[in-house]
Amino acid sequence: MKYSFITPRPKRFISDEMRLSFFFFAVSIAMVVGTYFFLLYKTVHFKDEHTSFSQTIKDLEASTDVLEKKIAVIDAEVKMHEQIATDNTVLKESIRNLFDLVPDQITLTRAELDEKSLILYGITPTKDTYSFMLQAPLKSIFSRTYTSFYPVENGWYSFVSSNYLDDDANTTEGGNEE
Amino acid sequence: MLGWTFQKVFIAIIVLEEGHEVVVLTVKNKKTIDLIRHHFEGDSSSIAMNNFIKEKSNISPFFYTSILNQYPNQGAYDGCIKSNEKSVGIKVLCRDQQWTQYASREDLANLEKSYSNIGLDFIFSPFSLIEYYFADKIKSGLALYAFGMPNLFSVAIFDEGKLEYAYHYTPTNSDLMEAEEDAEALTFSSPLIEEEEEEDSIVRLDDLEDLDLMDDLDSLGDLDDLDEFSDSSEFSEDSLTPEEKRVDKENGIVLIKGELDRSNEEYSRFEWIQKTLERFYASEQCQNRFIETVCIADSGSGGDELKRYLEEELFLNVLIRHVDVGVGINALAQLEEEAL
Repeated sequence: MKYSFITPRPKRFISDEMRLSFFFFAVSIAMVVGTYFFLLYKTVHFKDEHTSFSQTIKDLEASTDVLEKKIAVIDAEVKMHEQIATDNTVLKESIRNLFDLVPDQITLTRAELDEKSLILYGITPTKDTYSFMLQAPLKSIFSRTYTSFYPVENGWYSFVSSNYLDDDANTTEGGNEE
Repeated sequence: MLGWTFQKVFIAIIVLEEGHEVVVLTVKNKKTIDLIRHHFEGDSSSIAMNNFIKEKSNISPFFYTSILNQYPNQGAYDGCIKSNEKSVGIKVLCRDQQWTQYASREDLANLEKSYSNIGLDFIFSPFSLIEYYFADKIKSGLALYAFGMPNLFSVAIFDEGKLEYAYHYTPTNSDLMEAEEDAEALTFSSPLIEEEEEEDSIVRLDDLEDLDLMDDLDSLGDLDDLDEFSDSSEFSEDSLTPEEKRVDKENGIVLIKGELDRSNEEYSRFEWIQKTLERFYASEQCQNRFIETVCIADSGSGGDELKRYLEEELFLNVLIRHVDVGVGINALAQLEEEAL
């Protein structure tokens, strides 16, 4: 002290009321700042999650496309399988019907079944037997029927019957060749 | 740290004969914002004064209450010896490593106790005010400097900033109780002061003759003459009622008594200065030097009579500065606050 015999009382520039007010202000500000940072953290977290989910959605969409393509392929294969099965069934039925058509007197040695043609190789005792018992049903089925006979040693005939289906005509034509 | 953002309030309490004067100075960044002064009646600190000071101290948390130590047991001496300050019950303040102000610890404690409701931050010595008011002069040649208030008179002799002699006069220690004071004041004095006190007891006996001059003043104070004053009034008795005449007479008495008090005070100051000079000239510190200049800081408005006494009787060059004690105390408080 330069001039005074006593030292001054300590000066507090914040009174008790002010200190209490500052305390509450500080707590309020701390809560607001805390809430702000919490929300900021949550926002960043949600943004990260959003980005992650967007990426997942994109990945899943890509996977869905791949699966849809696979499903389409499988559907096509299923349809193809069904078509083949149907065709096989039809073929099987056709073969069964074919064999049902063949009478006991005629023996088939070979048969070539195609989509729209049937070529039969066999032996018949007589041409008439063939004509009446096999050619007649074949003509009712196929559009065109051609038959060639070849005599064998025991007097029977070996024959080759070519039968065709036309797309635009249901007319039946026939001819015998020796 | 944040002090510059706040206003600073400096409250000076001046103890007067008839009450207290409180001077409140509000500053911010060393710029004066407000200066208020208020007078309170009563010898001790009143509730009104306490409330006023508390109201003003609420302006800012940085408020400083200052008071001038007007107790008799104080003084100043040359040098900065403070080894025995506690043993003799004084508190000392070394100034510029050249001279020391001292005051009784008991008086300081009493002062703090008297104003404990308000609380004091600074207690200043009258010699600090002398140093403040004559800061431009005490570094110059040999001169006597004095600070006067209605109830105290402090005198110091400086030569180029060096304190040669100092004494603090109060009505109690100068007029009636000097004999008793010798025994008491010695306990609050430095060795230098003690010698001066011994010399003082010798000088005082010689000075008793000066008291005869008081007889001259008695002619001014003859209250019987007041009747004549009243008679010579140009107002006719018909225009005044007896009650009005009585009031006028009382007012006249008060005015004349005030003038007489001032005259007595100025004569007392003259005597104190004369006594101080005699003590100084009789001491070893004098070394055949003579004081030609007297500078007086006076809190009152008078001083002409004292100046005339000093110039005519002692052939001194006299400079009287009329000072505002409250402003001076607050200025010291500002200096102290800046040094914190």
